[in-house]
Amino acid sequence: MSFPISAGLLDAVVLSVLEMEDAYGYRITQQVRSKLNVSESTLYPVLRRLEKNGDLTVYDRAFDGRNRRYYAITPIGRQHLADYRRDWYQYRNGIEALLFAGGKAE
Amino acid sequence: MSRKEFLSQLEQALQGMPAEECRRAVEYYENYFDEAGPENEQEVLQQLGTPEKVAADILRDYRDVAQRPQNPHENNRNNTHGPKNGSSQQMRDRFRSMDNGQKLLMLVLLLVAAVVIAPVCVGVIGGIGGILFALICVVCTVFFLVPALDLVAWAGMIALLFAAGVHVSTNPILALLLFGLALICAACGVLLGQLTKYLFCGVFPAMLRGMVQFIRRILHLS
Repeated sequence: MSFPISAGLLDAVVLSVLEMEDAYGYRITQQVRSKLNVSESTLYPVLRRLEKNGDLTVYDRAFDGRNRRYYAITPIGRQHLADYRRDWYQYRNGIEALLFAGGKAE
Repeated sequence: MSRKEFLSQLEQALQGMPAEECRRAVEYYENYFDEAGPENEQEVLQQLGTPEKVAADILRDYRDVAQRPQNPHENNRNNTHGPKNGSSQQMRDRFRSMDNGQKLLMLVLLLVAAVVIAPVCVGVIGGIGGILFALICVVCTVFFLVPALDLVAWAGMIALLFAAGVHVSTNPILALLLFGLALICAACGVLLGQLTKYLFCGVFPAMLRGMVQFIRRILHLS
């Protein structure tokens, strides 16, 4: 793709996926990959980083005789997600203004 | 390559990281293979690429996090270290928004809490420490006392045998009594010897093992 996905954008995407319900790594990856062309190994560092920042917590659930590690968004994560969304609107509006109207719109 | 090879090579490639980081990453990919199911194993392996590349991604991010500020939004919120700072920041904000009367009340309450709670905390911690110390003392005493009593029993037996030998020609009845007492001492010695063996070969290793496991669990938790 012409536009690589930045680390901040990936953080925002993962937080959005977890906004409604907790999920485990494989599921989060599948969900992101259904919309974005990222490799399967992209998301572990993102999840670990978000966990360390306090945006996510993890917990384990037994499933089918093994362990499933779920990720859940924290209040701090929700706050960051709101910040990311605000930034994204600004960024998108700026880019679109430049790309489609040569910066002359408004 | 199989899933097993992938995971062991990934673990190898992550050796530069702290053990906990390495363990978490390997667990994540173990989980990942489990979720994908054995029928998709080859496909997942192909998608993931080489374990070295996967490890390089993890290592790069790990180093980046150590160096750069963690979040682009933290500058305007002074939130540098995750949830703990977040909540103390919230408390500071709330404190700042109070008027002076409320602030004074808050400070007085905090002071009272400190005066009342601090001695209680010290007492509780001291009490727990005391109990632990006492337990350790009791265990040590038992471990010391049993072999000591064993030695005393055997020494008593030897002394009584000797005394019996001295009296055997002059007072055979007394000698017989002393000989009987020596036998009782010997029986006690054998019993205490067995108990010593049980303590040091059975109980002691079990205690050590239990302690090691307990410490390991504490380290794992933190």
